[in-house]
Amino acid sequence: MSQFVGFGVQVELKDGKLIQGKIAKATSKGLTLNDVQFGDGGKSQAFKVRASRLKDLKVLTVASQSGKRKQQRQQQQQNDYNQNRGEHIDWQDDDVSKIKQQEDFDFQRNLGMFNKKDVFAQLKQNDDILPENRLQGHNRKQTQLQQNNYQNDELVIPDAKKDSWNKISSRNEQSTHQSQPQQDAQDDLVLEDDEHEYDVDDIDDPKYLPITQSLNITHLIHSATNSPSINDKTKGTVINDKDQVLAKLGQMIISQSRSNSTSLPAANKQTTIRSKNTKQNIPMATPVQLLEMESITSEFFSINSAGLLENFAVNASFFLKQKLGGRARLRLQNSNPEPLVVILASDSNRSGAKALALGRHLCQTGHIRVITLFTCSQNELQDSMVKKQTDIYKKCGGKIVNSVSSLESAMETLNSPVEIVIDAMQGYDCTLSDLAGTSEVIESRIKSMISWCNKQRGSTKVWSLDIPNGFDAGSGMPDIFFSDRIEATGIICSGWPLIAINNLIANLPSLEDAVLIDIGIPQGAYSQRTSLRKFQNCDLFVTDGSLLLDL
Amino acid sequence: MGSINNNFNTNNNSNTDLDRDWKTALNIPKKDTRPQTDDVLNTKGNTFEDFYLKRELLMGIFEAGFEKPSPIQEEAIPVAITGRDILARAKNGTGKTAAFVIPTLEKVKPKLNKIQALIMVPTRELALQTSQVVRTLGKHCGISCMVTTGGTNLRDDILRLNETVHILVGTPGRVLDLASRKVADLSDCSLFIMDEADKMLSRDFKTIIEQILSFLPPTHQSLLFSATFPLTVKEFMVKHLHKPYEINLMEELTLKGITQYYAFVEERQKLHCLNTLFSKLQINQAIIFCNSTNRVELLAKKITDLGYSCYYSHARMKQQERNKVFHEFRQGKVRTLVCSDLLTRGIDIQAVNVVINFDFPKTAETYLHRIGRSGRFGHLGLAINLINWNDRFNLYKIEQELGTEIAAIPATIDKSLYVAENDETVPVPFPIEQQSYHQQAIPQQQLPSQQQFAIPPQQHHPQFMVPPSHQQQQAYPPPQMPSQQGYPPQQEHFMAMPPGQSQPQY
Repeated sequence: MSQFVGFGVQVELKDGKLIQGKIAKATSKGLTLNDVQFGDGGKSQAFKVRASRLKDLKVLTVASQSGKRKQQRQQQQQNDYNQNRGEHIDWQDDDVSKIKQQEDFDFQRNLGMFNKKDVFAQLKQNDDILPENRLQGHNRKQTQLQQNNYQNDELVIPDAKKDSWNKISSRNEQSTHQSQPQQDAQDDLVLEDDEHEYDVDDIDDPKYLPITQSLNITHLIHSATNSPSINDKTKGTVINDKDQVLAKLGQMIISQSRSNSTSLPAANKQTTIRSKNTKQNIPMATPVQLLEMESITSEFFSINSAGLLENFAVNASFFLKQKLGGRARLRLQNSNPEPLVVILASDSNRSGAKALALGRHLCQTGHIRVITLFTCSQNELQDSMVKKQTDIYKKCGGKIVNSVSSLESAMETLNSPVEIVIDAMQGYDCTLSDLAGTSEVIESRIKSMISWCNKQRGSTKVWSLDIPNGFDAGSGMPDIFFSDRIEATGIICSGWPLIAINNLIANLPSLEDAVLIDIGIPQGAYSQRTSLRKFQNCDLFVTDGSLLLDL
Repeated sequence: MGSINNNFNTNNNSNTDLDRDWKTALNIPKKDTRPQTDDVLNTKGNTFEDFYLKRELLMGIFEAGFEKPSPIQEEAIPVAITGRDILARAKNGTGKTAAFVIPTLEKVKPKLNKIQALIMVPTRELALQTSQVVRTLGKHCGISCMVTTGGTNLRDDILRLNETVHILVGTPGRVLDLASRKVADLSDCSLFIMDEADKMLSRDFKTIIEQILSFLPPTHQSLLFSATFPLTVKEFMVKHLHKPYEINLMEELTLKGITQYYAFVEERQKLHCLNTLFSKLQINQAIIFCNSTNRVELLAKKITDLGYSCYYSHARMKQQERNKVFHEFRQGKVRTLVCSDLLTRGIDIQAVNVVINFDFPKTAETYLHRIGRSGRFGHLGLAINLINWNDRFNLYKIEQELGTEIAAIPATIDKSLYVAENDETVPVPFPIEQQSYHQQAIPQQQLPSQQQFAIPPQQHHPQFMVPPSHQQQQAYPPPQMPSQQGYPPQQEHFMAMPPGQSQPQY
């Protein structure tokens, strides 16, 4: 009977079923088949058929013309292999030379043996069965695997934008119901009238024009009149105002002379700085020179400080938006919440008002979240420009908090980490001591704001406007009257870089970047003063509103 | 040599002579003219210069042949530069490696002699490949990158770490070993990256990863990249990431450029089937996957007997052998690679245009990563699955899970689906330095900044392509076998060629 081993046969059973396979063993009692395929499409490695069930048998293929010796050798190899590997591979013993001689594999014929549509339809019906009721173990495994991963369209953080950002405004709405701001606004209007009359007198009187030194002092006095203490009109206070003005003048003159003494020994080397990419040499300015530029722009070109402030805000906002990821990230359809910017601002025209305008330009398009914290309570704001900018800022979507603790509470409820802090507590025309005055409450508040800022994560960038809080604007040295200072990572310069940056580089290890922002001073302004002529021949802002400096 | 191509978008900075000078001096490779799919073209129009990257980095990017960012690069690079933690999902082969290497090179400071970035990958081959991307893109940045993986000499790693290392690319076990021994100082490493994050967060690696994180500064930045995320990523996210930014570019799972077919084959017919595929398909390079290391070796031997050159690789091989196989296959020195799933993740060889699942995989993830070895970076590829009757369940489940259709193999396969018209422009993989892989630790020597980008010789490629005028179907003659000279005797078995058996002559 062994002569039939290897024959491919089709067996018909008495019950009508058809079975195909290869004879592995044949005896009088029945057949043992390998590679069995049933009529219903089922398959099996081996199947035994009793002789009593047989009805018919048809030979499909015959065994290869191999001798017993070859069969024995193959059997031995297979036994050895199975014993060593425990795995049976059908093509392991294939004769490669015969495969080469064969015709191309008939893919189409084989595809006819597998009706994918019907098979899948059957599987799909079975797919409704609960996994625990399935017979196939790998189906259960598949189900488990499916549950182990997020779906391709499923977010890990599905509701990142749904945080408490929109709830912060309710807190500020309450504060805007105060009646006092209206009264303060009326006082500011009176002040503005006085300032205007003074300017007219100054221009019309020819005695003042030729005296440069007098004009310098006049502008210092002009800026000093912005001090909040000027509001008190009583006669006794007038005397105190004079003393304060004189003290302020003295401090500024000392600051200027200190700056001059710093720059003189180093000659021209430290009075210029280079741009980062174009390697231009850029002259550096003193605070007094910046004030002169602003004054000339207002007097001769009728571009007032509000216009300059707006120019600054527009150009600085484009720069910061680029730092926050640019167009690739700042999209209204982004599933992530908008980046968060925190502004630390003082009640000062040249820092607080400027920062609020910048904050407004950042948040008014809806791409960036901005929260502002003042060095004083929002209700205590007195500078008219700051108050005006604050109102516009809030209408455009900016948020205001009134304490460091409320700022921290707000941050905990937001899904946006703080990515940028704008330090606008101290401009180039005042010091921290001026901000705090004699109030220990304000001084303590400023210190807590500085402390909060310095303990932010390493990835948070701190950009100071013109001069970091705690440093002298004239020299760049630490303020000897105030022990705390902001660890700024960048400086945003209004128009021209301060000479103080030279010392800041040495005294501020966290400093990485400095950028010049175009505030819109006309080129002709520099020819109006001898001291400003060095700024004439410099192509700073030709096609861009900002320029990075090489520190 | 590649022609100079200055067709870039205008720089947004001041357009001075200095700006024009650095672009004209670039040594740009020949443009890749193969068609690409929306997987890498569907961007919002930003350029690399829109990210305000430093000039030295832009030079490296353009000299590597990059022209525009892919979608994952466009979204991830600017956010990573801001310092945010990121969870990013994108399809295989769409540029994830450059999406985290570029911000890494931008943030690392060359003057600071500290390990500042740690890139964790699950396999040694992927570590080699990733480090090569770092070195290629950062060749003008003055940044030193070191690879450390298991299976190599620990002493060599220790010696290497005495020199300057800015970026460390490694596998978890070895990195933890070096950090625990205080040989690798990670206290200034502020950037932590996990590629193939789903594998890295599996049970095998998760504990090791968390131990490594304890050596990094608490406020480090973390970037996680993968094609799929397990549910366990949320637990890791809550514990280790700070308000992460999520990027999901997986509206579908399979690559648009890959055509998938199945052939119904009995187990004993598979060799015959494979022989026919070799003769009929126009293979540039092919990877053939088996489900066990034993079958890998047996199949490689049979393929050699059939007259085709091939290498094989699996986890049981020695590391040196695996490195050599990986290196030479990437360089196109051999046409076919037979391997287990060790090589499914992240391996990027643009010349691979055919993947054959000799054994059909059991899971959708494995299938996804396997066929993702072709169709790299939005190009076209072909995946052929040999299916037997018992594979029907897996075939059904994988189709259901991936939302894709695997069609029956047609009588003839349209060449435009997977064959490049001009094979000369197919990018050659970034060359791994010949010197480096002979050394066990693979130290990375600092390249001179003036060194030109070297394009390896292209002579192997014409042998792989049947001439267009060739109409008759016949067996493809094997390319010339690599010379045995210079190979240590114990390494000969890499070639899967039995001793004494001669090659058939045509």
